[in-house]
Amino acid sequence: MSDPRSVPAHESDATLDVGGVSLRSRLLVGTGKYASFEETRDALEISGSDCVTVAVRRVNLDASQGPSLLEFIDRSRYHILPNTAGCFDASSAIRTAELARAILDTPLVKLEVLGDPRTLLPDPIGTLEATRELVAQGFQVLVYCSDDPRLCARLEELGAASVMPAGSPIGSGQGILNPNALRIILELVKLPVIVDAGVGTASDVAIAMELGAAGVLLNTAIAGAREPLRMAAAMRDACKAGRQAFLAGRIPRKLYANASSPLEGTIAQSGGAGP
Amino acid sequence: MQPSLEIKLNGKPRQVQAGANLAELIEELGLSGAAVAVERNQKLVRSREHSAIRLEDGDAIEVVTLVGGG
Repeated sequence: MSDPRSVPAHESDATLDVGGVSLRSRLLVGTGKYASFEETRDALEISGSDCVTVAVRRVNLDASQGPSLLEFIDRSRYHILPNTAGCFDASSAIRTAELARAILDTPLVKLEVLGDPRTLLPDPIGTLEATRELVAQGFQVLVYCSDDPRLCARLEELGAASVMPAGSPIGSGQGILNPNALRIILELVKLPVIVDAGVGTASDVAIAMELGAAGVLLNTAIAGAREPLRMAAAMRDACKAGRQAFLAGRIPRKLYANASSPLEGTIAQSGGAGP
Repeated sequence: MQPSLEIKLNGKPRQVQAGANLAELIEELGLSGAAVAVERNQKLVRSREHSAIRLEDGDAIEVVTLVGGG
């Protein structure tokens, strides 16, 4: 037994191994929606994450080229996980992944194939198609998907590196809407399961980790908080706390009370003046 | 004056000199050496191939970079 006073308490739990990289932190964070690149950099640092997501977009040719986000992400410290956010069909997601790989020279990709702009829910069929093609092209595909256990099992069969079921819709802050589905996914799938999207606050991260998720990916919950840097710290701590609680093993839920203090030896048993 | 041809660059029409190659276009945009990737007609073109790709009338060129995202 290792010393539980140190974190992580479990020696085999030192890293999250996914897609050929070894992450010390189980919190993966996005880089969108921050007020400035400086705030992005500080939030990443405070979050303790070593894997950050970025998006692929057209260069704005009308504006003069200012500093690039990449100047604020130390690549010796962070693995960069490009996403295919904003793609509504498999072929544009595949093209986006190829463009990202050309810039970053990384096989990692967070695949998003979305159904429609209003719900931003993942399109399961397009997601399967794009996963198959990207795996064939040698990508390490971390697949954003709905919290459907059978879909996650199919993605594992296709060779995904990770399945990343949504806790609730992207940016909605609704937390983990269907913990039972997540529990079934965690039983069915041997791949690292990273809960992605929907986190609103620290307890949502803790719940996902307590259920046994390998990690949590979030963006808006930090970037949109009133104090993003403080929330980055809260998410870092919640992720660690939830993981420790999962490893420690929660007590079963019971209907009735179970006293923590001995029931014997109380002075109430000595009788005395009755009513 | 050299004849020009029209391409679509990031979705907008743009006149380029006939015979220009992709590397010359990227340089003209001030993006040589920048963290960008380029597609021609929906196919990725690796940077080492840019100077070998001569632009043709009607080409759809996409030049992308990385931005904040989740």
